[in-house]
Amino acid sequence: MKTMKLPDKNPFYNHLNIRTLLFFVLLNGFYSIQAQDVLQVATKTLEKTIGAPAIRTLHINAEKADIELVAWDKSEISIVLKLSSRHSDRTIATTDLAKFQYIADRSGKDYFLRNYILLKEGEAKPTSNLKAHYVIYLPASCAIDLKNTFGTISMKGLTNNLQLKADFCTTSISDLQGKGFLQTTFGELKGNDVSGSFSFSSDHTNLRLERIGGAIKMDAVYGNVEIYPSPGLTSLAIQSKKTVVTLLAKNWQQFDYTINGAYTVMKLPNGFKWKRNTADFKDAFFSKNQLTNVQINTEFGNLTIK
Amino acid sequence: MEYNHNTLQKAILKLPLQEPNENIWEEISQKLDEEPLQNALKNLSEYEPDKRLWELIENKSVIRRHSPVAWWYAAAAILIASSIGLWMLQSNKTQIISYSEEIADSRLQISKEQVADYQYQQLKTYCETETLVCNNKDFKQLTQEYEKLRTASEQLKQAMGKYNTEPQLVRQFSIVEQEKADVLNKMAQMI
Amino acid sequence: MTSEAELITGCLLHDRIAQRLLYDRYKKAMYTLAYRITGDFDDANDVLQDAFMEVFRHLDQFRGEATLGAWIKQIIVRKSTKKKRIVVWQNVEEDMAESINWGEDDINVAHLETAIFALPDGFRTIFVLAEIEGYTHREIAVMLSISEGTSKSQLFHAKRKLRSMLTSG
Repeated sequence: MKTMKLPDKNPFYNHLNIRTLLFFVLLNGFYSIQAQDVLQVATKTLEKTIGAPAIRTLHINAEKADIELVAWDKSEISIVLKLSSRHSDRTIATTDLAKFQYIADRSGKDYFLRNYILLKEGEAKPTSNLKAHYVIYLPASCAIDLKNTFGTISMKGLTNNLQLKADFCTTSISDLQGKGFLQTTFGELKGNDVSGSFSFSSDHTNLRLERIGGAIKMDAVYGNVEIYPSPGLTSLAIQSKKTVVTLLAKNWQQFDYTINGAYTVMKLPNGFKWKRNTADFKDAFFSKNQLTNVQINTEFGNLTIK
Repeated sequence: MEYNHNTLQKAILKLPLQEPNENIWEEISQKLDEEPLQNALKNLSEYEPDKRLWELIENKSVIRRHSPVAWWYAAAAILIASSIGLWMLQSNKTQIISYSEEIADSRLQISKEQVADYQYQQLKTYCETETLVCNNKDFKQLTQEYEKLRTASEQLKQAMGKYNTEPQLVRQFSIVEQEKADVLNKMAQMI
Repeated sequence: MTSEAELITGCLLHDRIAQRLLYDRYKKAMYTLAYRITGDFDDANDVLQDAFMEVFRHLDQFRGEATLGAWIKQIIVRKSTKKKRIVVWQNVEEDMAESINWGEDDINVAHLETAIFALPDGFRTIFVLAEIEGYTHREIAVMLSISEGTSKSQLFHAKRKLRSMLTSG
């Protein structure tokens, strides 16, 4: 990557023509870029392929990482892990990179990946911007146990057990089956084509789940929850506190509903029967003896079904 | 009313029993074997690091003397880092490092002091003398919520550091700051 | 056959044979209970393992107010509901006037099993505890920290749903 150079300072012309005006605008633009730091990026890379015997569970304990997990039809797991350090001073970037360590190790049918900061005696904390980037291709049937903070997570095509703990992360999941427990604080979680037995526990997170089926449980505190269920939904249970909850379905009447709200602003479509409907407490239901039950229990916040 | 309950009960009695995996007992037996060691590990003594250590860390000075205290700190640092305990640490000494350059976007850097925090401090000062509203349950809940958001904001700032390159962290930070402002407004309205 | 008292004494002495005998005696019933609540074989295996570890660690706390089997069952129920984070909803619609008729013809057992597992977690848990395990609503209320009324109401809804599934299936 080329280093940005300072432009020559040209005199201001008396005759304001388009060319001069454009040049002046560009000049200001360059000055503002010049005000930005040029960062020296030091990177170390790990590349590994894990073959037979097959790994049952992949454990990832990451910090400040961008993690991509993609299912493929090979039996081995391919890992590329880049640890990078950014600082305006290359020496400091290099020294800080040395404090940024990883573990990539196997124990029987489990594989462990981890990145962390290791300080030896007397060492100062790193001042560089440290980042890890995992790109992992793996069999769809591999179970995942993943933790990450302050980064991004993307998972596609997995069909087995998923345990996720994401704090301050931007997470996206797609084509997921099987079962799992996804716990998030802050950040956002977007899912589409998720089907199976999944539990979500979120705190101050923005959740958006599209084409979601199977048996789904949600426990949300603050944040937003937007759900677009698919006809394949067999049960949905939402418990929320101070959350904005929205359930959008083309044909909402295909499910049975039991709704209880305390101090919640509720907007329900026509067809619901009210068991209680006061300013503070609202209990409503819609029942056609259908296989799929939607149970929503809210405290404060908003609930909209449409 | 329920009719012909015995029909249901008859069917229930015929429901099949399930057999657990054969290896469950092996796993239980192994854990029972390890119990005495696990209990002993839990009862290991704890050691207090030398108080001078913190000063040394703060001053970022290199400890040249090989005192027992320095060795304990090194051991503790390594133990904390490898919390799994049993794994081999990957040696990175022979790793090849590649270099490149990037421009840090100044729009992704966060200023130090946030207005909301300053106003919150003012509210807290007010609460030192005016306790009636401030002891109200709702007000206290709002305070707790503000503190939680402030901690989240601090964590985000720390994660971003001096050379942030992640727009999603800035986005999260803005959302949290907005939520802080909303909570603060609610608190101010109560006074 | 070894008596319950002999088994307990042996287990307290960390006699592995006694521990194995105790496990073998109860494993099928407890595993089946765990499976019926969690709805998942892997989860049921995990629950069984955790539960028996707790049994062997805390057997000294067993006071004999109930049978050993009943004591172990309570541990299984607690661990199963925790494993699946099962929440039993209070305030479910109280109208239980509708009658449920199971008919005189035999119920197809395979259909019944499928229908039980198609029930939402909360309904299924109450149904399993009340109808299959024979707990009273008061006992269920204490175990799951809910009211007796909720237990009764949930059981009614579970049975109504089951009946509907068995009729349409």
